[in-house]
Amino acid sequence: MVNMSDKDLQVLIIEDEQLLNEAYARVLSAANIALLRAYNGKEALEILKTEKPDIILLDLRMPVMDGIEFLKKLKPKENLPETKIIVFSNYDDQHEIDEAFSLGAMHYMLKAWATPDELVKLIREVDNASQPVAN
Amino acid sequence: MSKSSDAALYSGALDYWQIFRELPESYLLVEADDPDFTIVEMNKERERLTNAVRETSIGRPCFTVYPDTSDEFKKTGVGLVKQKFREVIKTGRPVQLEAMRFDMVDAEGVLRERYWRSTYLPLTLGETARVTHILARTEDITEEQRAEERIASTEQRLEAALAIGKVGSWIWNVTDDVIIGDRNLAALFGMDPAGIAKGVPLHMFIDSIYPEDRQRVQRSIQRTIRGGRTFEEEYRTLTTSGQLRWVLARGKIEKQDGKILFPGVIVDITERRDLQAQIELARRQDQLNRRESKILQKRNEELETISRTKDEFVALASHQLRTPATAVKQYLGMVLQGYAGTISELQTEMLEKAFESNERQIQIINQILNAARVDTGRLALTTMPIDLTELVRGITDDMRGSIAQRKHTLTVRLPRNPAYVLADAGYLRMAIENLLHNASVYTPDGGKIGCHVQRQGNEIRIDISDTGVGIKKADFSKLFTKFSRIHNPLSVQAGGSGIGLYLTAEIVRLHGGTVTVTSQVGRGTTFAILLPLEHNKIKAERGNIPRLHLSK
Repeated sequence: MVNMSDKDLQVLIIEDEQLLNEAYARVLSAANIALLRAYNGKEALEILKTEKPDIILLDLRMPVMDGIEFLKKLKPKENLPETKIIVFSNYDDQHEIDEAFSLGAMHYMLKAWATPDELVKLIREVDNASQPVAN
Repeated sequence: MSKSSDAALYSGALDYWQIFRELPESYLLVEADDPDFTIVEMNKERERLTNAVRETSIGRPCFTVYPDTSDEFKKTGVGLVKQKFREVIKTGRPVQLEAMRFDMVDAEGVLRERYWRSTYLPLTLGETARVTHILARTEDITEEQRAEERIASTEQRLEAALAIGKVGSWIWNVTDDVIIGDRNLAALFGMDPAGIAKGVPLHMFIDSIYPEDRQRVQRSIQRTIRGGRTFEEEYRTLTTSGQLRWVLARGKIEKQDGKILFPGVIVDITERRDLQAQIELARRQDQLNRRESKILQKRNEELETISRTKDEFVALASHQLRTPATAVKQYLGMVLQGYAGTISELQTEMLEKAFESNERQIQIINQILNAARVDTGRLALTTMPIDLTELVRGITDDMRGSIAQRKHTLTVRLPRNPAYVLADAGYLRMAIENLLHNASVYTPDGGKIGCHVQRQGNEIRIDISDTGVGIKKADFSKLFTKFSRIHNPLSVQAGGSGIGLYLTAEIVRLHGGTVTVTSQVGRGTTFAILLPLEHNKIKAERGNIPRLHLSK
């Protein structure tokens, strides 16, 4: 399924695993979503100096600077209030999820779960939502 | 008839003097009415015994030949004999002098301690009524006396030892090899007391020493005899009745009159040694135990380390497997969902099979990870008051899609009001999803799935039922075990929260609840989760500080 009307939606993918970073990129671009890509928090901060994506897909487990540290440095509530952040996590990091939420994340999902369609659907859902998507 | 004529009768045949000379007892003849008690005659035995010479003794005063030899016996020596002589003369009767000490110089010229027993006999020679001569018959009782003295002097010691009990006294005449001992000694060795009192050779005691100890004791005895020190040995003896006893023997060497004497005491220390042995044994056992427990402790630590290492490896491996598994899912998904162009029916069919397999892979990885987490105690619940009604509503809404895909009918019944439980939303969701998912999987197309939440006393109950294949009663016990999969054609599971019943049960347990199952083969199954209700409404409404429940 390809949706033609969302070219103005921009997503920043922050994911350290090359394989997955590329897979998500392909899914999203096939869905006509504009992309920005970073492999860790430090790179992402660089990108965010000049860009303002609508959505950030943030992997929490990353080298150099992990997701939580990135959020602390970014202070999205102050610096990127318009951007909605989706966090990737594992269930054993309930504390991480809570922390991410408190730092400004809006939603989280388990990477392995989403099919490409589901991922796109989630992104659109989050884009349309005005408050955190309840889990 | 006169005495002289009597004398004449025999003069030719016998020499009386010669008879006198050769008598086996010692005789000394002195003049009685001579204040010097001049020696008239002495026989050979007398000479030998007193180291005197007849020729130089006859005609001399008795006490010149036999003066007092030690200062301390001045009064008791010569004085005593003189007194006895006078008594004989006065009474005209024999007088005995028992055990008198009268030291004499021996053949080498050495003054030696001597003891005598003498009998003084009156003789009336010639035609008179008074005692004219005194015949002294003397026995050397030095050995006898010394032994008696020694025994007497040790009697106190013996008494004391006897008081203690089981202490035997002995005197070993080394030179003559005769041991005499008391009745305690006899008792100790199971020997005849009368025999021991008389004296037995040393070998009788040596023979009773336990063979292993014999050499050591004998060597020690020899060392003592040669070196003159004290003797002290602990050794085992074998009594005549075959009893093995530990004894402590102490003695010392005394040299007297050319004889070596070895007196001593011996005491039974079997009990003491037994006790010592027991203490030693207990001490060694303690040492062993301590060492053993240290070894066990170390081994436990090692095992724990190995176990932890194993768990960490498993977790790490599973984490790392997730990434490629996810990538496969994405790419297969993209092709199936048309992101790579149109695909044929056959291509779809094949790719779908691959996709399902991959989902199963992901599920297994998650199960392993979760199981490992439970095992290492890292399954940590962060609980908060949660409205279960809302939670179940949300879960069932999410699942409607996939359930509809299998053409099942989902019926949900929820309480009208909120029902608060202290729970970890994430994990509880996983548990409920798992049960719903299973219900769907094991029910053929067109079946019914029910989710019914209701209050039950102080608890809230979630019934998840299906009209599926059912579970055999025999398989009930296997249901909640790790990685269990009851052989079932419908067991290819697609999707789901990735945990098995093992984890579902564990999560519910950590929430303070229980999971039960009822089933009928061919008819259907119902799983029921029971959770305690959180009654503190204020806490629930305010949203409490999350509590942590750690799995063991």
